[in-house]
Amino acid sequence: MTRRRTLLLGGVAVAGVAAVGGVAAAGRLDDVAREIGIDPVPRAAEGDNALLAAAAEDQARLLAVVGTLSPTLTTLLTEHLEALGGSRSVSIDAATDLAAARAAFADAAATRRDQAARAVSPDLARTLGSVAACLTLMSTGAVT
Amino acid sequence: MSDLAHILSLEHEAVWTYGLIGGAFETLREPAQAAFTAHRTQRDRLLAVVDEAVPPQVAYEPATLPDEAAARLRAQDVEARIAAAWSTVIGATTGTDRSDAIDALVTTETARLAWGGSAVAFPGLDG
Repeated sequence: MTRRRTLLLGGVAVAGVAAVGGVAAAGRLDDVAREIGIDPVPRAAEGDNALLAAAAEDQARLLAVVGTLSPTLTTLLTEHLEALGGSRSVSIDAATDLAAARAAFADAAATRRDQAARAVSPDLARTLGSVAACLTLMSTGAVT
Repeated sequence: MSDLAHILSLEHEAVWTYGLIGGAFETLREPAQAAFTAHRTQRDRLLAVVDEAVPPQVAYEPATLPDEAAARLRAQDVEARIAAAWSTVIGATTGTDRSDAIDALVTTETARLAWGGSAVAFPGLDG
Protein backbone atom coordinates (compact mmCIF):
# COMPACT_ATOMS: atom_id res chain seq x y z
CA MET A 1 0.00 0.00 0.00
CA THR A 2 2.84 2.31 0.82
CA ARG A 3 4.44 1.72 -2.55
CA ARG A 4 1.14 2.29 -4.29
CA ARG A 5 0.71 5.52 -2.40
CA THR A 6 4.06 6.79 -3.53
CA LEU A 7 3.53 5.99 -7.17
CA LEU A 8 0.06 7.43 -7.10
CA LEU A 9 1.42 10.51 -5.44
CA GLY A 10 3.87 10.86 -8.30
CA GLY A 11 1.05 10.28 -10.71
CA VAL A 12 -1.02 12.99 -9.12
CA ALA A 13 1.88 15.37 -9.39
CA VAL A 14 2.36 14.53 -13.05
CA ALA A 15 -1.31 14.67 -13.89
CA GLY A 16 -1.83 17.79 -11.81
CA VAL A 17 0.78 19.59 -13.82
CA ALA A 18 -0.65 18.28 -17.08
CA ALA A 19 -3.98 19.79 -16.12
CA VAL A 20 -2.45 23.21 -16.59
CA GLY A 21 -2.18 22.43 -20.26
CA GLY A 22 -5.90 22.10 -20.62
CA VAL A 23 -6.63 18.54 -19.60
CA ALA A 24 -10.09 18.70 -18.08
CA ALA A 25 -9.35 16.16 -15.40
CA ALA A 26 -8.91 18.29 -12.32
CA GLY A 27 -12.07 16.97 -10.66
CA ARG A 28 -11.01 13.39 -11.25
CA LEU A 29 -7.55 14.15 -9.88
CA ASP A 30 -9.06 15.62 -6.76
CA ASP A 31 -11.03 12.40 -6.32
CA VAL A 32 -7.87 10.34 -6.71
CA ALA A 33 -6.01 12.55 -4.26
CA ARG A 34 -8.77 12.18 -1.66
CA GLU A 35 -8.89 8.44 -2.22
CA ILE A 36 -5.23 7.99 -1.37
CA GLY A 37 -5.39 10.30 1.58
CA ILE A 38 -3.86 13.56 0.45
CA ASP A 39 -5.64 16.85 0.20
CA PRO A 40 -6.26 18.08 -3.33
CA VAL A 41 -4.09 21.05 -4.13
CA PRO A 42 -4.61 24.04 -6.40
CA ARG A 43 -3.57 23.60 -10.00
CA ALA A 44 0.15 23.84 -10.37
CA ALA A 45 1.70 26.86 -11.97
CA GLU A 46 2.90 26.53 -15.52
CA GLY A 47 6.50 26.53 -14.30
CA ASP A 48 5.90 23.19 -12.61
CA ASN A 49 5.61 21.61 -16.05
CA ALA A 50 9.16 22.59 -16.85
CA LEU A 51 10.45 21.50 -13.43
CA LEU A 52 8.87 18.10 -13.78
CA ALA A 53 10.16 17.58 -17.31
CA ALA A 54 13.67 18.63 -16.33
CA ALA A 55 13.67 16.39 -13.27
CA ALA A 56 12.48 13.39 -15.29
CA GLU A 57 15.11 13.98 -17.94
CA ASP A 58 17.88 14.22 -15.36
CA GLN A 59 16.70 11.09 -13.56
CA ALA A 60 16.92 9.23 -16.88
CA ARG A 61 20.48 10.47 -17.21
CA LEU A 62 21.34 9.22 -13.71
CA LEU A 63 19.93 5.82 -14.52
CA ALA A 64 22.22 5.65 -17.52
CA VAL A 65 25.17 6.81 -15.42
CA VAL A 66 24.65 3.97 -12.92
CA GLY A 67 24.46 1.37 -15.67
CA THR A 68 25.03 -2.01 -14.05
CA LEU A 69 27.09 -0.76 -11.11
CA SER A 70 24.40 -1.36 -8.48
CA PRO A 71 21.07 -3.19 -8.73
CA THR A 72 19.81 -1.31 -5.67
CA LEU A 73 20.56 2.09 -7.13
CA THR A 74 19.04 1.04 -10.45
CA THR A 75 15.83 -0.03 -8.70
CA LEU A 76 15.52 3.23 -6.77
CA LEU A 77 16.33 5.41 -9.76
CA THR A 78 13.82 3.50 -11.87
CA GLU A 79 11.15 4.21 -9.29
CA HIS A 80 12.02 7.89 -9.42
CA LEU A 81 11.84 7.91 -13.19
CA GLU A 82 8.50 6.14 -13.31
CA ALA A 83 6.96 8.42 -10.68
CA LEU A 84 8.12 11.50 -12.54
CA GLY A 85 6.75 10.18 -15.81
CA GLY A 86 10.11 9.92 -17.59
CA SER A 87 11.47 7.28 -19.92
CA ARG A 88 14.83 5.59 -20.41
CA SER A 89 15.76 7.46 -23.52
CA VAL A 90 19.22 8.67 -22.57
CA SER A 91 22.21 7.12 -24.30
CA ILE A 92 25.39 8.01 -22.46
CA ASP A 93 28.31 6.04 -21.07
CA ALA A 94 27.88 4.61 -17.60
CA ALA A 95 30.19 5.73 -14.80
CA THR A 96 33.26 3.60 -14.39
CA ASP A 97 32.75 3.18 -10.66
CA LEU A 98 30.47 4.14 -7.80
CA ALA A 99 32.67 7.06 -6.77
CA ALA A 100 32.07 8.72 -10.11
CA ALA A 101 28.36 7.96 -9.89
CA ARG A 102 28.21 9.49 -6.40
CA ALA A 103 29.52 12.79 -7.72
CA ALA A 104 26.69 12.78 -10.25
CA PHE A 105 24.20 12.03 -7.45
CA ALA A 106 25.47 14.96 -5.41
CA ASP A 107 25.01 17.35 -8.33
CA ALA A 108 21.56 15.95 -9.08
CA ALA A 109 20.52 16.15 -5.43
CA ALA A 110 21.36 19.84 -5.39
CA THR A 111 19.41 20.37 -8.59
CA ARG A 112 16.40 18.41 -7.34
CA ARG A 113 16.46 20.40 -4.11
CA ASP A 114 16.43 23.63 -6.10
CA GLN A 115 13.56 22.33 -8.21
CA ALA A 116 11.65 21.41 -5.06
CA ALA A 117 12.19 24.93 -3.76
CA ARG A 118 10.71 26.39 -6.95
CA ALA A 119 7.75 24.03 -7.23
CA VAL A 120 4.34 25.61 -6.67
CA SER A 121 2.41 22.38 -6.25
CA PRO A 122 2.91 21.08 -2.70
CA ASP A 123 2.79 17.50 -3.95
CA LEU A 124 5.43 18.17 -6.58
CA ALA A 125 7.56 19.87 -3.92
CA ARG A 126 7.22 16.84 -1.64
CA THR A 127 8.06 14.43 -4.44
CA LEU A 128 11.10 16.38 -5.62
CA GLY A 129 12.23 16.97 -2.04
CA SER A 130 12.02 13.26 -1.36
CA VAL A 131 14.00 12.45 -4.51
CA ALA A 132 16.59 15.04 -3.44
CA ALA A 133 16.89 13.32 -0.06
CA CYS A 134 17.31 9.91 -1.68
CA LEU A 135 19.97 11.22 -4.07
CA THR A 136 21.79 12.84 -1.15
CA LEU A 137 21.94 9.48 0.60
CA MET A 138 23.21 7.88 -2.61
CA SER A 139 25.88 10.55 -2.92
CA THR A 140 27.18 9.90 0.59
CA GLY A 141 27.21 6.14 0.19
CA ALA A 142 24.48 5.61 2.80
CA VAL A 143 22.59 3.88 0.00
CA THR A 144 24.66 1.78 -2.39
CA MET B 1 -2.18 20.39 15.77
CA SER B 2 0.27 22.18 13.45
CA ASP B 3 2.84 20.28 11.41
CA LEU B 4 5.66 21.41 13.68
CA ALA B 5 3.69 20.57 16.81
CA HIS B 6 3.20 17.08 15.38
CA ILE B 7 6.95 16.76 14.80
CA LEU B 8 7.58 17.99 18.33
CA SER B 9 5.33 15.24 19.68
CA LEU B 10 7.34 12.72 17.65
CA GLU B 11 10.59 14.16 18.99
CA HIS B 12 9.29 13.67 22.52
CA GLU B 13 8.64 10.05 21.60
CA ALA B 14 12.08 9.66 19.99
CA VAL B 15 13.86 10.98 23.09
CA TRP B 16 11.89 8.55 25.27
CA THR B 17 12.47 5.67 22.83
CA TYR B 18 16.23 6.08 22.62
CA GLY B 19 16.42 6.32 26.38
CA LEU B 20 14.59 3.03 26.55
CA ILE B 21 16.84 1.38 23.96
CA GLY B 22 20.07 2.67 25.48
CA GLY B 23 19.03 1.56 28.92
CA ALA B 24 17.94 -1.90 27.85
CA PHE B 25 20.66 -2.98 25.44
CA GLU B 26 24.31 -2.39 26.20
CA THR B 27 25.41 -3.14 22.64
CA LEU B 28 23.10 -0.41 21.36
CA ARG B 29 23.95 2.09 24.07
CA GLU B 30 26.39 4.15 22.03
CA PRO B 31 24.18 4.75 18.96
CA ALA B 32 21.16 5.19 21.21
CA GLN B 33 23.01 7.84 23.21
CA ALA B 34 23.93 9.70 20.04
CA ALA B 35 20.37 9.51 18.76
CA PHE B 36 19.01 10.58 22.16
CA THR B 37 21.23 13.66 22.11
CA ALA B 38 20.34 14.55 18.52
CA HIS B 39 16.61 14.24 19.13
CA ARG B 40 16.79 16.12 22.42
CA THR B 41 18.47 18.99 20.58
CA GLN B 42 15.82 18.94 17.88
CA ARG B 43 13.08 18.75 20.51
CA ASP B 44 14.46 21.79 22.30
CA ARG B 45 14.68 23.71 19.02
CA LEU B 46 11.05 22.99 18.32
CA LEU B 47 9.97 23.82 21.87
CA ALA B 48 11.37 27.29 21.30
CA VAL B 49 9.25 27.94 18.20
CA VAL B 50 6.06 25.89 18.55
CA ASP B 51 3.25 27.80 20.22
CA GLU B 52 0.88 24.95 20.95
CA ALA B 53 3.52 22.54 22.24
CA VAL B 54 2.21 19.21 23.43
CA PRO B 55 3.81 17.79 26.58
CA PRO B 56 5.59 14.43 26.43
CA GLN B 57 3.72 11.33 27.44
CA VAL B 58 4.80 9.31 30.45
CA ALA B 59 5.51 6.36 28.15
CA TYR B 60 4.97 5.29 24.56
CA GLU B 61 3.82 1.95 23.19
CA PRO B 62 5.39 -0.52 23.05
CA ALA B 63 6.94 0.33 26.39
CA THR B 64 9.07 -2.80 26.46
CA LEU B 65 11.35 -4.27 23.83
CA PRO B 66 12.04 -8.01 23.94
CA ASP B 67 15.34 -7.99 22.06
CA GLU B 68 17.75 -5.94 19.99
CA ALA B 69 15.94 -6.69 16.77
CA ALA B 70 12.76 -5.22 18.21
CA ALA B 71 14.72 -2.22 19.44
CA ARG B 72 16.13 -1.59 15.97
CA LEU B 73 12.69 -1.87 14.43
CA ARG B 74 11.32 0.55 17.01
CA ALA B 75 14.05 3.06 16.15
CA GLN B 76 13.35 2.67 12.43
CA ASP B 77 9.66 3.20 13.03
CA VAL B 78 10.04 6.43 14.94
CA GLU B 79 12.53 7.79 12.40
CA ALA B 80 10.18 6.86 9.54
CA ARG B 81 7.30 8.72 11.17
CA ILE B 82 9.46 11.77 11.71
CA ALA B 83 10.51 11.60 8.05
CA ALA B 84 6.87 11.47 6.97
CA ALA B 85 6.11 14.49 9.14
CA TRP B 86 8.94 16.50 7.58
CA SER B 87 7.71 15.53 4.13
CA THR B 88 4.42 17.19 5.01
CA VAL B 89 6.31 20.32 6.01
CA ILE B 90 8.10 20.35 2.64
CA GLY B 91 4.73 20.67 0.93
CA ALA B 92 3.42 23.25 3.35
CA THR B 93 6.35 25.68 3.26
CA THR B 94 8.43 27.69 0.82
CA GLY B 95 11.94 29.09 0.60
CA THR B 96 14.38 28.47 3.42
CA ASP B 97 11.79 26.66 5.51
CA ARG B 98 11.26 24.14 2.71
CA SER B 99 15.01 23.69 2.29
CA ASP B 100 15.38 23.16 6.04
CA ALA B 101 12.64 20.54 5.92
CA ILE B 102 14.51 18.66 3.19
CA ASP B 103 17.64 18.78 5.36
CA ALA B 104 15.65 17.35 8.25
CA LEU B 105 14.29 14.63 5.98
CA VAL B 106 17.83 13.64 4.99
CA THR B 107 18.90 13.56 8.64
CA THR B 108 16.09 11.33 9.83
CA GLU B 109 16.31 9.03 6.81
CA THR B 110 20.04 8.65 7.45
CA ALA B 111 19.20 7.63 11.01
CA ARG B 112 16.56 5.15 9.86
CA LEU B 113 19.10 3.48 7.58
CA ALA B 114 21.71 3.44 10.35
CA TRP B 115 19.27 1.48 12.53
CA GLY B 116 18.99 -1.15 9.81
CA GLY B 117 16.18 0.17 7.65
CA SER B 118 16.06 -0.66 3.95
CA ALA B 119 16.65 1.99 1.33
CA VAL B 120 13.52 3.46 -0.22
CA ALA B 121 13.12 5.58 -3.33
CA PHE B 122 10.95 8.18 -1.63
CA PRO B 123 12.02 8.96 1.94
CA GLY B 124 9.14 10.41 3.88
CA LEU B 125 6.64 9.10 1.37
CA ASP B 126 7.58 5.41 1.49
CA GLY B 127 7.69 3.31 4.60
